[in-house]
Amino acid sequence: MHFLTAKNICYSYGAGQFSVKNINFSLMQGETLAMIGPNGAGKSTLMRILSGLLKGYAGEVSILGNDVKKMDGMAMARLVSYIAQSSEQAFNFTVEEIVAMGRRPYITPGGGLKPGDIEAVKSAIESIGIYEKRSAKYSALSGGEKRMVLIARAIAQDTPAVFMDEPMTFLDIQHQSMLMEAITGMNRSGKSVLLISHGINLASEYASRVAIMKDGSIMATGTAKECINPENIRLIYGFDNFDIADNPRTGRPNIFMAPENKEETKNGMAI
Amino acid sequence: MTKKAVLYSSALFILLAACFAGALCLGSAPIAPVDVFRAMTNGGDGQTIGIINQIRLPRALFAALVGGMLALSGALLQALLKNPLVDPFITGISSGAAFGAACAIMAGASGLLAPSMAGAALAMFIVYRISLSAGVLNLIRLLLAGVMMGSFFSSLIMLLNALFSKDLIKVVFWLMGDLSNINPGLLLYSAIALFAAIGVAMYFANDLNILTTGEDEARSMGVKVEMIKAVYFSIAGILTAISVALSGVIGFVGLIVPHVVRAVVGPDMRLMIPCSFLAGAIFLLASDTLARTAFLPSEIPVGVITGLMGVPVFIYFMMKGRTQ
Repeated sequence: MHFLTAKNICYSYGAGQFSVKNINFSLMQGETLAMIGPNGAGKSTLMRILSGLLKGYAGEVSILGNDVKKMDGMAMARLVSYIAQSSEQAFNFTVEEIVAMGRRPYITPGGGLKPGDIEAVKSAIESIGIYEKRSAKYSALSGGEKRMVLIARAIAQDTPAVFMDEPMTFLDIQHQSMLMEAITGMNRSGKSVLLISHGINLASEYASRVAIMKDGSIMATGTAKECINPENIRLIYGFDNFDIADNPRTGRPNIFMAPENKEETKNGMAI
Repeated sequence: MTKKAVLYSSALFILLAACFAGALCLGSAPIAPVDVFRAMTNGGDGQTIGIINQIRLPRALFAALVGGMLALSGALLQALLKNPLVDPFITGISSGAAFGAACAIMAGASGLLAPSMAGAALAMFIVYRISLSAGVLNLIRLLLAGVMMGSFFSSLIMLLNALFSKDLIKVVFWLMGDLSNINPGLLLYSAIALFAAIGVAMYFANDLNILTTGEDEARSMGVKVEMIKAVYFSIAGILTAISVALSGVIGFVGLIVPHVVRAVVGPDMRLMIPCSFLAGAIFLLASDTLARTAFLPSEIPVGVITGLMGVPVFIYFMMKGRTQ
């Protein structure tokens, strides 16, 4: 069943150039869909449109049959949680305070957290394994932990879908894996996940489907096997120096850098 | 949060009461606490009753009110603009008020309140309009527009001074900040405005917290971002305008007090709002008492004391933050 459907989406920031054009797209309930593509392809713009954050687009986005243009912010906040690309905070809130912000759709402006909200915050922090750091200041956390806190905030927001804009940025391989496991966990609990990623291999390994974007349009959607092939990669990134092979454990396609001149130097580096 | 709020608020209330007692007892003629109390209940000699009830009490209330307004305005603007180094005067509102007052002084008018409020309102309107683009209040543009308008109005004041320099000293004194021109009739109205502002600010404080984490994030959590920005800019602007119109430009209170309060209580605006107000009241009341008594028989502008006291405190907290 469709969670989200986008029909003929076009958006321009001005000067006549479209950032996204003629997007037709759907996100199924309970699936993880990864959007990949080069910088400037329009992925973040499309995600902001789908999240109801960017207005003034042509076309129609509907979530569970409701037109996003007509939905108020609070109704939208109960359906989709959004994690932006940048995770830096101007002020030094604690982990608990940031995760508690995710409960905003369920409380009135002047009201405080009710026992149910406090329990939701606690269980969200526990679910990502940082409960012992609940009182730590956000600035004292590593880049990976900061991302996990934002995931916990999205879990506390308790929406049927989570949209994430490049959640892997600046993360080491261990934290990338932890984050993808957390995403898989959300997926298992029935949430739809839409994520933008520059990590093609991670998208291939963890996503149910992949959408490839270039120049504001979706070039291909399908399983990793269908989309991540030499033709598509060459077309969207415009280079040849790579190989694609299946991961022997999962059977999913992975991309490897393959520099053209493979003469070995003294220290073993390819030049 | 509630326990912390009670703890910090109680401590600040006790400190504020102590500062009030100091402000009422100290002056060119020191008065014993017991005589102050007697005078406040209309007992004791007539002269003491006059000094306490006509001079020191209104002035102490006035200092606490203006200090609270400036600190609260600074706290709100720092959160709104996501910048702990913002002070209320960066919005250009104070320069607009100063321009209004300078015009009135040059024209020989006696009352400065109405012209300075008009100047502040003009500056606020211009900054708001410049910062508004397709219905969205651009906060970076707001900061830049505030700085620009501040410079523009300052240049106009200098132009006025150059053309009609006869009352230059009055304008300079007013710009330094002055709590000696008390209008007791305005105390009540200013207090009503302040407490209404605190009420509204507290109601939306959690939304302001969320807004500091990013506009898109706040929207995605259901916060009405544009409304919140307009509400807090208006509250901060009105509080700044009133305080400048009442007492001129008293520097550092709106910058330092919220910064220090945040270092102690944390960034949660539900705590920051009451604590900044109380700490601002304490800081300006203490500064004014010092300004009145440190160089007797002379009284120095309170802005000099806030600068001399505030900057070392600010540097201490910055150094402490760095070592942490």
